[in-house]
Amino acid sequence: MIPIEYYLALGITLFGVGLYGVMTQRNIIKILMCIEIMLNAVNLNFVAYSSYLHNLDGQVFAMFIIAVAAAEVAVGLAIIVKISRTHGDVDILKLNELKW
Amino acid sequence: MNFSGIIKLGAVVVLVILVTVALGVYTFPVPEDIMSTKTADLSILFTKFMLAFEVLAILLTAAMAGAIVLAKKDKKISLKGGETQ
Repeated sequence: MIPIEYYLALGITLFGVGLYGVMTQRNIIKILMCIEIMLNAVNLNFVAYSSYLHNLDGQVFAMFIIAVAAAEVAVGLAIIVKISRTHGDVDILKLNELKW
Repeated sequence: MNFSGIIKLGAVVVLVILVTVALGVYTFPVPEDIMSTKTADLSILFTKFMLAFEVLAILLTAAMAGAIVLAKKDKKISLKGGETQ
């Protein structure tokens, strides 16, 4: 049985990768992918603790997170399609119409 | 990579190292009651989490409809205001 520390280390590494990508990338699709990486790191922590504590609530929460992430990425990709039609590209630094 | 990107990368690396070291220092105790969980125990999805399950179905349907409406070809409205084409 793998100790829970390894799962947590992998989870924080995945979360760091996603956080770095969200802060540095300029392409919206890459940012969405990095958000998915962070959500999967959270899922990994939930499932690891669920197995560690012998409590199934964590796995149910992970399933809810997966479903919400699917809804989020569907709407996000639709918005990206709309943006690419109106702006021509998906560079996030050029999307400053709502900036005050 | 510009200067602020290096700072962000450094911040993330420091965060990862700190948490990894903290995880290595703290050792998790082994729980006493070793009992396996079965797939049938996931039926709490339909009892304890029934409300969240139903709300999730509504959310997925709304997201699907919203994505279709957003991505549909629309030649009148532009995000920049005014009409195109």
